[in-house]
Amino acid sequence: MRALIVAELERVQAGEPVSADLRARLREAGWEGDDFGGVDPAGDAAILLAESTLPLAELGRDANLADRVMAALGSAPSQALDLGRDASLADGVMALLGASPTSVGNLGRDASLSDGVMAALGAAPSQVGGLGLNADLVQPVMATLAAPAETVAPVAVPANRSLAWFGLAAAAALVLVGLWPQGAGPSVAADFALSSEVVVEDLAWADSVDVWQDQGEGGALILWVEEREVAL
Amino acid sequence: MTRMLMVALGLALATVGSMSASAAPPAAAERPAAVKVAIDLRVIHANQSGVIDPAVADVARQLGARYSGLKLLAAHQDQLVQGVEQTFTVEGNRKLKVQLLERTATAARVRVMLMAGAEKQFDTTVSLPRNKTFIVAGSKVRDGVLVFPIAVRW
Repeated sequence: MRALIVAELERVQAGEPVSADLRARLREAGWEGDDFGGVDPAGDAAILLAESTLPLAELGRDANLADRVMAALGSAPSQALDLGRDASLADGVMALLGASPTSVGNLGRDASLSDGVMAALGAAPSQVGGLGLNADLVQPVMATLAAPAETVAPVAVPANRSLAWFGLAAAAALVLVGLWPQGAGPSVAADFALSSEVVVEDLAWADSVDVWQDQGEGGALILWVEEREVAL
Repeated sequence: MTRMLMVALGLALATVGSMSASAAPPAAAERPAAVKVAIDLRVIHANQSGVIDPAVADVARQLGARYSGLKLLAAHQDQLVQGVEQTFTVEGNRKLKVQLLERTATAARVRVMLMAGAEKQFDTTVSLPRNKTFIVAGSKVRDGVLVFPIAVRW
């Protein structure tokens, strides 16, 4: 997957059109042109990645960084999404991001903004805990926001683009590493555990059902539960 | 959607930036990290409609000729923190409760309970290899059954 990300970023940074694979993944994730005012999100995401000096673009130049990013995101794949589900917390952070006078790239330079985001996160400890946010992620986030400017790569903001498109670019990267929810669209085939690879223990069931262990035609473990019919 | 994208951007940028820094904050370094895994749960209706939803073609290959039709009803993506029970509400007044009991570098032990209303229909513990998927199936609804492919990744 890292090779795919690197290849994709190298492609767009070289001025080539976004690959059909990225377009397909964006569409699988439910991104249709109509959702963004008729604009082609894949194309714009690619342009942004090519034009900007987003830290994400470093993925194409630093293989070790790509691994670290994937490891970090992979350790907490739903944290960003969980944050987005909580309206009050998300609104607080969003308001602060939206209040940024210039660009996302100033996050690390604008002390008041950094303080604001930190306050928003810190002011809602129960929400953070309830959302399952990893404190080990929150701490580095807060530290990064408060860090000196030189630790955060500058971001070039095209004058005619909104910050939302940078979110789109970031989300495109999340799609590329397979962490964005794929909704009800076509999905990547699951890697099924074979019956021989799985141990089922302490199996207990109610009198109203029968339960048994079976093997799918592809060898996957299937736990069948036979019960009385109920209405949807 | 836009809000989620921007929040994702903020965290993604901050995460990248934090990894570029020379050292982690002492407080974070001293705190033991919670053991967790990502869980993907798909809720599928298997029937005899003759139509296979492309999103669940992989499951159709496992079920074989038993059902000619499969439709993806819902897809849940979340995370399991060790020792914390996660409940997914699914069709037919069912709840699937999942709890991460243990995780090593290569395998995880997950407790799975299926509830129908207040009744616990079954309760078991499954040990499976890293990033693999297993299937719970059979709850009857209408002219078919529910199928739950459950993937555990870390």
